[in-house]
Amino acid sequence: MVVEAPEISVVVISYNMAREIPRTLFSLSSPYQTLCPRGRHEVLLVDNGSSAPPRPEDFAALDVDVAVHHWPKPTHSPVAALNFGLAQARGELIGAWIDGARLASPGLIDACAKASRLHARPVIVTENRHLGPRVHPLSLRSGYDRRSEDALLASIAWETNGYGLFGVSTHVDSAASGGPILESNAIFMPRPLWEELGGYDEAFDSPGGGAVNPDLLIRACALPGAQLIRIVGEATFHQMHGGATSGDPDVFDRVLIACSREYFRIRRKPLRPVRDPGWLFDARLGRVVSPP
Amino acid sequence: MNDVPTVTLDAVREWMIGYVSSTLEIPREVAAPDATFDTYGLDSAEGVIMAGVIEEEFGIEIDPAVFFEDPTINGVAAVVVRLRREQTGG
Repeated sequence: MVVEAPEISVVVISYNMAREIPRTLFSLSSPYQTLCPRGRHEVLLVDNGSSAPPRPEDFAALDVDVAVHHWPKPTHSPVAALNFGLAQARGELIGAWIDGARLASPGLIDACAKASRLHARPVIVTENRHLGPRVHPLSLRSGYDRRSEDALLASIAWETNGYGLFGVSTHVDSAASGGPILESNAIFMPRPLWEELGGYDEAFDSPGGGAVNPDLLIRACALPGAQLIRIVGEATFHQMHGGATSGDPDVFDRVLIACSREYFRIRRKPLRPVRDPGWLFDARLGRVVSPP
Repeated sequence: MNDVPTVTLDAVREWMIGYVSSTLEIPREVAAPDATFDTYGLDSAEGVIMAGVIEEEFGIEIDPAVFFEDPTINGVAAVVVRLRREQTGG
């Protein structure tokens, strides 16, 4: 029997995210994702050494094709695990979730698929948002924690009201309106672009991957003929999980400084956000809204 | 004898003007040393990123809070010179 490859692959990295991953995978499942019937996309969950690794049977009830992999050489950086996941992907359009604690909005996958048809060499980025009143390092200071986040999510019945997530989250940057963008936590590109890039650069071996995600975006946008496409009206929503850059506010700035230093050491140039406004694609309108 | 080269305020200021104008893609004259960073579009995250590059460039460790206390090129440059002297003798 020949099993047809899906159109889209989504690679999700997990590390000690027993609370967050089931929600993330639900947000990538068919009933939640609009215009994504079973078979259109696959999810590759790559666990990077969790103390209680996720098992396939944990997600058997979800209406989505999930392949669970356990990266055999886990480190504090997710980069190798992520590249492993990218190598397993069968779809022609591949999205990467370097941080598995991110919920998707309901139209995200279809929007990225539509955007991928607008250009031969698209680099498709989605907005990063944090659940709660402020970005997580600041929310933490005012007492926001996993429990309050659980209550917040329950209060909007997000499973059936995915766009309600915008109302209980905060933007991290102005990426969705064409402003500077440092990284995208759900970035999609056609397979050939991933291959040209060689995936993520494993020279970045800091906890959490350091500046590897900004580096990938910078390198992707610099590919000859690449077109940056920013998705409007869809996003990922970060759940608080104490990851490398989202936990203790006093640690956050030092982590960002360490990322900057690592980038400077490896690339011999300062880390800079991508300032190219690219195209803003509103999937709900079905067109590029900027430039007009 | 301390062989760490001394870094002058002028040198740090020039380095920062170059960094800011290059990063933000603005003319050097727009990056006025006494103007606050937000007036020419350097946000707090980019300030922290600049702190990392400063640490690499000048061999010091800097508290990112300095970017909020006196968020100007002159203000940060003065701190860099002081920290360089305190931490390296240069």
